[in-house]
Amino acid sequence: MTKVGKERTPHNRGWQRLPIMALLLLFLAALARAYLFPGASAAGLAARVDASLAAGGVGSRVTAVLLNFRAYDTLLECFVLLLGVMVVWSLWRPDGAESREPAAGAILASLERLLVPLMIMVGSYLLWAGSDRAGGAFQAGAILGGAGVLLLLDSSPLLKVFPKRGLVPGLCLGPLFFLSASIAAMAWGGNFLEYRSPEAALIIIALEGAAAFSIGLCLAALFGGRPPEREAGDGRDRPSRDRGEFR
Amino acid sequence: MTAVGAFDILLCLTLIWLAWQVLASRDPFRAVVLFISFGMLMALGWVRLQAPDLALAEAAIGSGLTGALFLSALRKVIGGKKDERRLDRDEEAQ
Repeated sequence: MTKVGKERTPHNRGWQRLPIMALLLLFLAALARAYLFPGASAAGLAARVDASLAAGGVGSRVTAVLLNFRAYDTLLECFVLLLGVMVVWSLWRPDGAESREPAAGAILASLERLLVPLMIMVGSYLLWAGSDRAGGAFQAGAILGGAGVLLLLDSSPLLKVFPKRGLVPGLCLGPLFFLSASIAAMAWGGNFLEYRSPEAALIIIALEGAAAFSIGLCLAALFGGRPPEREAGDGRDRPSRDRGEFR
Repeated sequence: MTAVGAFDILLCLTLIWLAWQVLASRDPFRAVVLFISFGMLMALGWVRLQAPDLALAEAAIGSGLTGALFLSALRKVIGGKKDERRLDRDEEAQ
């Protein structure tokens, strides 16, 4: 890259970078100090998580933390993704629309017939495995989103399977379900976002399923970039991928 | 030094080098491709740190989907402005 870079960059502004360099070095030194002398927090929270894992409803520490002990973070992440889709949609301008589908060949078409079912399967497996192993809603959602991106690349006819009107409800499903389950937890005597042990496992699985679906839809919609109302007629709608989860 | 230790050190050095390449790259397309490969190696790093959840998320979101979003944004920003196909720019850059 330096070959390409050198001929175009003005190099006489190097001194302006010195303060930034100094700040970065300072930051690096602070990081190194925190790493080398961890202090009191070195033990981490693993012991406390392990102690309360039984009440969390799932066997995996990470899932228990993400969806029960610290579910607030995950809830906000879901809403952040939704917000991202809203921003992308509001920035959409129709003039760039035609540049979207260049040469989608037979290779891509057959590849997606091969890969999309596999991705739906792997995504569902990750969702299910998340309760006691590595995996979980975000990973599953990302893979579903990847399947959606693949379909969007050549605006596959498979996308028509997903009803256009289902898009916005589908995007909102995860965050809203999450929110309502958290509020319902208060009605059952817990705190906000606190799922008690007997129902916890079931609630968490349901939450993860809804969250993964919406996350996948959000990610694919981010890639599609086009709000649903504008695409009348030609049948190329964006998001779909996940319908396989329902069938 | 064990082979595993050597691998870890190599991985760390490669990550730092790749990160620098991403930042220093003048060609945005090249930077995006390097970013994707950085994400894949970073996922490997998370595996080495025994954080498979993070590794999965990094590979799927950090590398795959973000890379796809970057490429799509690149096409919208540069492709729209210059009105030339990405392939042409690649050839030109080399």
